[in-house]
Amino acid sequence: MNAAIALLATTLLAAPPTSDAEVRARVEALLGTIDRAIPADSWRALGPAAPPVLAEIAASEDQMPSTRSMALGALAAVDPARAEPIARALADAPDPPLTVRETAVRALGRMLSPTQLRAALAPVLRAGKEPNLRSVAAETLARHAPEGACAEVMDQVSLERAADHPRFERAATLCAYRR
Amino acid sequence: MRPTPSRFAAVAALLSISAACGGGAPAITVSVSPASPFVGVGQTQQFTATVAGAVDQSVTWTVTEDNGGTISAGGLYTAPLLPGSFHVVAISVAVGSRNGTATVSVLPPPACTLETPQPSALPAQVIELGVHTTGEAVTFQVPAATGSVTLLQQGTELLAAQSITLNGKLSPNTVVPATIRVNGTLYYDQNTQPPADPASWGSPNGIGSMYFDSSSPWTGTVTVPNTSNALEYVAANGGVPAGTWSIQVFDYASGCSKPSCAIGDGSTSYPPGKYDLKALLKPGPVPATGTLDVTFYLVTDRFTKATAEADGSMARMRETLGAYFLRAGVALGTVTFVDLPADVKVRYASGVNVDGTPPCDDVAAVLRMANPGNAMNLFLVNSLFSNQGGGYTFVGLDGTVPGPSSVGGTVASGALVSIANLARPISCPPGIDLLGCGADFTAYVAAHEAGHFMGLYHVTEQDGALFDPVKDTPTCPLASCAPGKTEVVVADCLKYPATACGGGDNLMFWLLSRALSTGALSSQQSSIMRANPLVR
Repeated sequence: MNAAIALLATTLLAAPPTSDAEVRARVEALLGTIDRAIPADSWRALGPAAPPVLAEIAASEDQMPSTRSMALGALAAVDPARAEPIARALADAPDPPLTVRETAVRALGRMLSPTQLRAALAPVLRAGKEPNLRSVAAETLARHAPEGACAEVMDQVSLERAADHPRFERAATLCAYRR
Repeated sequence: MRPTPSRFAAVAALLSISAACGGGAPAITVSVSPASPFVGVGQTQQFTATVAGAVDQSVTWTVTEDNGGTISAGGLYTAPLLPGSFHVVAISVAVGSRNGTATVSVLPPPACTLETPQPSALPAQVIELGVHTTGEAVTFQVPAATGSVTLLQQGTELLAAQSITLNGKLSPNTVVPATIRVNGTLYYDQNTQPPADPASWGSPNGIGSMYFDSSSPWTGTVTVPNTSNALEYVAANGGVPAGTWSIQVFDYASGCSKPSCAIGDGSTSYPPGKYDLKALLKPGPVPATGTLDVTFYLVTDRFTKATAEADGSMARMRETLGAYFLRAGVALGTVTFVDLPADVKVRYASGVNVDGTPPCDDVAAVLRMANPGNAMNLFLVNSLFSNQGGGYTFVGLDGTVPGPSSVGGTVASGALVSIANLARPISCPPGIDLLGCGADFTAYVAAHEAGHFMGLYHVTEQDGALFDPVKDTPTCPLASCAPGKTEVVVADCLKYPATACGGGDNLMFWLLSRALSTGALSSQQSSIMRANPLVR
């Protein structure tokens, strides 16, 4: 049996946890990953009770920032409808840790159409207070909506301080080599 | 769009000049848009010009620099094939003395320049073996009572393949000996597939004594002992196998053949890999205790060397990291903070992207900034992220297992640690508190990644089907410890010795449980760490 079939079989045969408490425990356990990615199938195998737990953790100020970011990424993969409003709210909010807001901006890139993404991220790109967030918005637009957004991205890059240009290098490279 | 102060100043200055010249014809100015674009080599960029104060909007276009690219009468710029910074000028046809300029940054293709072989900081312990092409055999002598042998392999052929395509998947062109023999006896053969639990395999006097399972293109390392078998040999004989060691130089590209494997993406021919080889011999026996120096590289823009040295969360993190190392009998020695250049901090301020294929990815680019020296190099970053899948966040990442100890400046000379959680909360209670103290959490991750660098594998991997080559770390097989699940988690693996499901609380378990992880290290894991050249 090759690896892909084995993975599929494992996923199909995986018995979802029986109680909400067990689902929560499993979700929290997997969010303890250090240097390994948790595939979307692993979250799906936890059943329909997992996305609400991921949503709660992503939005919780009591959680570690990296845990919130992991939860949001997982939620974007398995339940984008639930993840989108959370990501929009986090991307626009001033209070969450910057790393969580950056994850939210990146997550929007995977959930929205290019047109929706340009509308959602244009304010962040042009007027985000932190240059980090502007650069993540630029990179996300360059990666997921290059055809329409690269002109806006490049315009914004040209307005940034020269000292901040390395921050926009990933976005600039994506746009420069998109054709 | 938010004008910077300097732009405000420039606009204000322009307005004041216009006002001072008031009464005459309006000043004619030419502006070019975009003002400072980035373009790839050979790529095109459309410019437009606006002539303010004139009815005639027509301009002529020119590129200031020779070899700076070309531009059409319509403003379509074509970048040259060499990167650089160039100027595009629009000259008003109405008033030829008026012009506007744009600065074009022409970027190189997305690739990297790899470093030349770097020296070891322990030259007295190094046998220089020279540069060799894959397929060549290299021999050297290991004297009796040698505590450990570290084989350092560093690429020298810049045009060699950096990746292979195996069964359709792009993989790094890992460098690892094809075989290692001691006095003619085969101890390692990269073609021999170990079982899922390599601890239960082979013997101290041959195959199964040396283990390797890592991704290490351009720079690869093997340190012996890194298995229970080898530790048993060292214990019985006072050192690693003495005599003539013979290795066959190899990288994955040299073993790559169609149809399942192609070198690179299969479209280009590459010269064979060449590697600078060094054998680093650490005098035996493996010490019962030792000291480890740590260098923290501040990739993060949240700290400078001065603020990091004075910060309470950093101090707590160092203290807890020291406590974890002490479990292996290793005392934390000199701790140094190194401020990386401002442009580096800015470049990675929104995180280090772990998606690339080493050795030309962000991770390698960061790790190669390690200075010469024999220290555990930990690069503190704001975050680690991947754009794969749904978008992943990591809190730590090691270059290779093990890392090239004592050698700075390579694509694998350290490990990355996220400080996203460092300062939450501001104060931490006495004792290690993974539940609430972000500094302790960060220290745990740092210790875990340092463990990888010093030769430790995950005691049980994510899928519960692969284990480390160490006998005194319990395993936690998925089938028996978490039946019906897709991964084993810490709680599944805390039932040893009542069941054969253990290792969940080990520092090298693949997950960190803030409630259940203790950061335990077994006796043999500790020996492997102390045998590493980093420990003095």
